[in-house]
Amino acid sequence: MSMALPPSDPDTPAQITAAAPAPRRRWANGLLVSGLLRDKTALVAAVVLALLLLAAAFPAFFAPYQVFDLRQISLMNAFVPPVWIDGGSWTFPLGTDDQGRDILSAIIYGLRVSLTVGLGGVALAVVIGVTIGLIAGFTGGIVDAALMRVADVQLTFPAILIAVMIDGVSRAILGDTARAEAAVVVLIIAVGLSGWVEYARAVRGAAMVERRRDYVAAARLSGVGSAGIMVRHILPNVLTAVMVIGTIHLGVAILIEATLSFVGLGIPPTQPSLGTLIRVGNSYLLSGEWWIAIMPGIALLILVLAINLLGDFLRDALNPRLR
Amino acid sequence: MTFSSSRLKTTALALAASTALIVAPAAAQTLRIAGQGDLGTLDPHAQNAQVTMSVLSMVYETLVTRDRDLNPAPGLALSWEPTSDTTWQFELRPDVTFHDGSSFGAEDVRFSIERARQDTSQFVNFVGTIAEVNVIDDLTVEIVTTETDPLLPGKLGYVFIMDSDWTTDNNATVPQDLAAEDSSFAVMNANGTGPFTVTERAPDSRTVLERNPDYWGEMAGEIDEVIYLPISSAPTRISALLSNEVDLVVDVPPQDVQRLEAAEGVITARAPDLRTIFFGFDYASDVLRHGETGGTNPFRDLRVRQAIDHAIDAESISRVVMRGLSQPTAQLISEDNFGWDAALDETVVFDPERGRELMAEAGFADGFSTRMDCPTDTYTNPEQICQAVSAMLSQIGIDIELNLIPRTQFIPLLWERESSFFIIGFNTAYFDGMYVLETLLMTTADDGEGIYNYTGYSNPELDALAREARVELDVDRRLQLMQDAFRIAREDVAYAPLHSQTLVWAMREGVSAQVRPDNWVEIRWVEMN
Repeated sequence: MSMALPPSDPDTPAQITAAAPAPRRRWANGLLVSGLLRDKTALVAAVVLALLLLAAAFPAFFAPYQVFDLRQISLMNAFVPPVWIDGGSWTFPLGTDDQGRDILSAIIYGLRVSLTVGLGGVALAVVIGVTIGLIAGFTGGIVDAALMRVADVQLTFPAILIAVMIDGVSRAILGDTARAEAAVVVLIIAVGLSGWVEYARAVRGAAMVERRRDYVAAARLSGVGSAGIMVRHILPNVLTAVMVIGTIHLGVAILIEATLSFVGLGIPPTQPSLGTLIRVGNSYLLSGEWWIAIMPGIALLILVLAINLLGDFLRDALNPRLR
Repeated sequence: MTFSSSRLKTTALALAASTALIVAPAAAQTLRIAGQGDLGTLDPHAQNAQVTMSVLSMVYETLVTRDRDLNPAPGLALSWEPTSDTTWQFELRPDVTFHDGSSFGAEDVRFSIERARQDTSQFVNFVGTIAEVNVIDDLTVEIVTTETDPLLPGKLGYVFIMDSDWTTDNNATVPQDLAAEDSSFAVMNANGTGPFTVTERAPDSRTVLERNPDYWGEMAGEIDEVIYLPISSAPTRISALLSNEVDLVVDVPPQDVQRLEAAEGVITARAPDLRTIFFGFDYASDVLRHGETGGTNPFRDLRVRQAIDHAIDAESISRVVMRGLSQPTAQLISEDNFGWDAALDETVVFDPERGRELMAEAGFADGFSTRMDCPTDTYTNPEQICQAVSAMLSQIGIDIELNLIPRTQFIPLLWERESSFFIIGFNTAYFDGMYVLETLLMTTADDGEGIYNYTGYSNPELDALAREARVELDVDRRLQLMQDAFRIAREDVAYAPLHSQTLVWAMREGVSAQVRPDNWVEIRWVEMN
């Protein structure tokens, strides 16, 4: 095979590895854009998601009120219904909550917290999952077997149970006051630790295939270490799979955060996420002020739906094998 | 739902009767009660909490009870009278038996009071003035107090009587230490003289009581079984009533009252709560523990406290957060208590402008920041109240960092005198404001004075008035002394009062229960059909 390649030639491995993944990525990007323009559902989802991300990134610009500035809140404005209901006005388009806070503004700030936890949690899961997957897939043997058994055990726990466990441990270590301050970080860890297995499995599978490829053998022969091969040569080839899983996982991660916050184990009401807003509003569902819970609920629904539709599209477009 | 054996027996008996005599069978009646929290123990001297007392009052009884007008009435004691300044004589009710069949007598009274005086008991307050209990004969008890105590009969309305033999035989002579999480036979079993016996106890899940057929007293209804269910989520609790899973809900959130009143097959009842809600300040620290105050303690300045009083809009909180189910007040006790003063009930005018002036006069024109500690799972809507008050105080330049925590973490903060600013609800135990004067306002001392004085407030003038009032036997004079003491607290703005709550119960149509201002379910008064 490539035994004949002179190991002393410094350019050869780079040329070979660059030759393997690069064309495939370029091909994928072109297809992605034209595919998105053709798929109306995915296009709408992408636009909606872009808007939501923008609002979450610059809440001060999008939200009519500063919900954390107590001076702007007055009990006099409490329980104003949405604009299309008798008693509502454009001053508060989606109505106000029990404290007189503008619900639209609260949702935008809540979106920011939810997305921070979601994206942070997915990023952590990707880092853990990809690392473990690469090591397992590339090394094989007993290391692979051990890591994958850990993954199997992890799969037997529902994600929400792991998240609750981490929440409990964090409370025991930090105490409740510190835990409330570190709520976002704790939730990111909870989401990350409960979701890495999918990535690890996908990456391991891909890594096992890739490591038998010629270009890997070539890289090895030219003196590149195992870590270098994994990061520089195999990783780029498994990234599309990671991206697809990541998008779908983002929706799940946001829902886990919302569930935890809804049951009171997540973000405290002083910095509410969408789940916290729904929990607070839940007390008023029976008394007629349904919008306090329903509006953040709809926002959550739109966010997760957009992410999932886009995730489906990416899966179809980039990696039909994952279907 | 489970059918207890006796319920089956009753049904079978009723069936037999109806076939034999052709009379309409009286169906066995089960009353299912849902509340916010569960009783922490069955030990009658281990936990002085409303829900625990309420449920245990169906099983255990006290010497003195209350009639429907809430006046002291004979319970296990038929009569009582002072025989000197420091002795009371109690004549006990004859022919009363405990659930296990043993008879009730003077020795049980002596034993129970002694038990309630031990360190692990949470009822030391109620028996603190008692020096000794002397058994005169089997149905006569003499109680000697260390000083004149006109309130003793009222206090004994909170001390449940246990069977001395049963308790001793089962090694439960020391009350359970709840803080140390220890346990004893009396924690999971009960043997009282009350109208119900405990048949099933599943902590945090359900407690089932069955009718005691040998009960000496009168019952308004024909209830055979009581099931107490703790349901912490308010919407779930209300839904349970609407879907007919429970018959009576005792902790109804204000926002659901209107809907319940409109709902078919549900009736509501209300009564003013003995509990008053107010805010406390740290007086003890030279520099406030939490917040940025420029190295001072602003709360020591009367003008700052007055400014806070002016900045809190109790009317809006009553209207929006409490939906009209609270009465803004300037006092620390509610209207049903001895010591209440109509003249003191005038609340200060809500005037943030005046508040800002007072802040500026005190040298805090630019305001300061501090932390407010707020329990989330006790009182009515505390979270919403604290958030609203934080917003109101921001108008006079006080920047509040809200610390929302469960009650189990809130109480230790108070005990450690760790809180700078907090909300608290206080319930006068025996319908008498003296409890508030003694435990909350008097300067903290070793003998139990000021044991709940978490703020470090101290005014020798108030202390003197309270000491005089508590040994005063003349009712009018005592009232005057107490009102004078409360006026001092008011002028000092010792606390910033907010409102007294209104209790609301909701029940299935056909159930008739009278709301007691201390939120006890008095089972003897409940009727069902």
